[in-house]
Amino acid sequence: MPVTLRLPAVLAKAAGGKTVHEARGATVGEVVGDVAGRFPELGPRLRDAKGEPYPYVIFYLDDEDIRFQQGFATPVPDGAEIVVVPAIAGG
Amino acid sequence: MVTYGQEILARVRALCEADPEREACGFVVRRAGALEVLAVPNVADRYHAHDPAQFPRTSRDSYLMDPRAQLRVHEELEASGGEIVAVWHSHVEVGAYFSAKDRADAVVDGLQLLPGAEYLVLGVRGGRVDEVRRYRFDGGDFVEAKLE
Repeated sequence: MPVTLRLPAVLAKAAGGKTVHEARGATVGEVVGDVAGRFPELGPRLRDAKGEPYPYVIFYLDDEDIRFQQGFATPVPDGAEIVVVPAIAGG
Repeated sequence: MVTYGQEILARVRALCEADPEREACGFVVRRAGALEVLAVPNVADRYHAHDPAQFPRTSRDSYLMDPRAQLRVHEELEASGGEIVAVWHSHVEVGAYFSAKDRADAVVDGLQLLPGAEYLVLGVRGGRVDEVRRYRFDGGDFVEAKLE
C-alpha cells in the first residue's frame, strides 16, 4: 500500500506543482528518495549532500518529528502520511 | 496594508512579556475579516538539547515554532478560509530589529516561506516590551514599514 508525502506549497514548484504525492518505501528516507527520484529539483530541497534532513525542513510522521524518532531510518507503516513542514524560525 | 490596531498589538506585547527571558512567537491571522493573535510554542530549546550542532541557539536568542502547532494553524486556516497576516516574535534584551537569521529563515530560494506575511519584532528589556517594529517583504528583501 502506498504512503503519502505531503509537501508545503513553497516546495510544490519543484515537484510538478503538486503538494500531495503517493510514494513507496519502508522508511521515511526511502519514501523521500522515491519522490525525489521523480522530481530531480526536489531532492536537494529535502535532504543535504550527505542525504540527511536539513535542520529547518521537518518531516512529521505519527504526529512527531522524525528527528526525535529514527531520522530517515524511521519505519513507515502502510498507508501512512509524511508531512513536510518548513520550520518557521529566526533569531 | 493591514492596520493592526492597539488591541492586537497589546495582545502580542502581553504574550512577549509573559515569558520575558525567552523569545516568544506566533502569528497574527485574519479569519472572517477579523484579526486574531495566536501564540505558538517556541521549541528551540527542545531541538537544541537534542542536536546542539544543528541547532546551536536556545530560546534565549532564537525561536523555532513548534512544527506540530504550526501545522495545525495551517490546517485550521485552510479549513476556515483564514490567512496568516504576520509572524511575530520577541528579542530578549537586544532590541527590535530584523536579524540576519530572521531574514535567512524567512526566505527559500528568494521566495517568502509564507507568501505575503509580514513580520513583527518586539524588543523586550527588563521584562517589558519597549520597542515594536514591522517588516514587509518588498523587492526581494525585508524592509521596515510604519506600524499602525
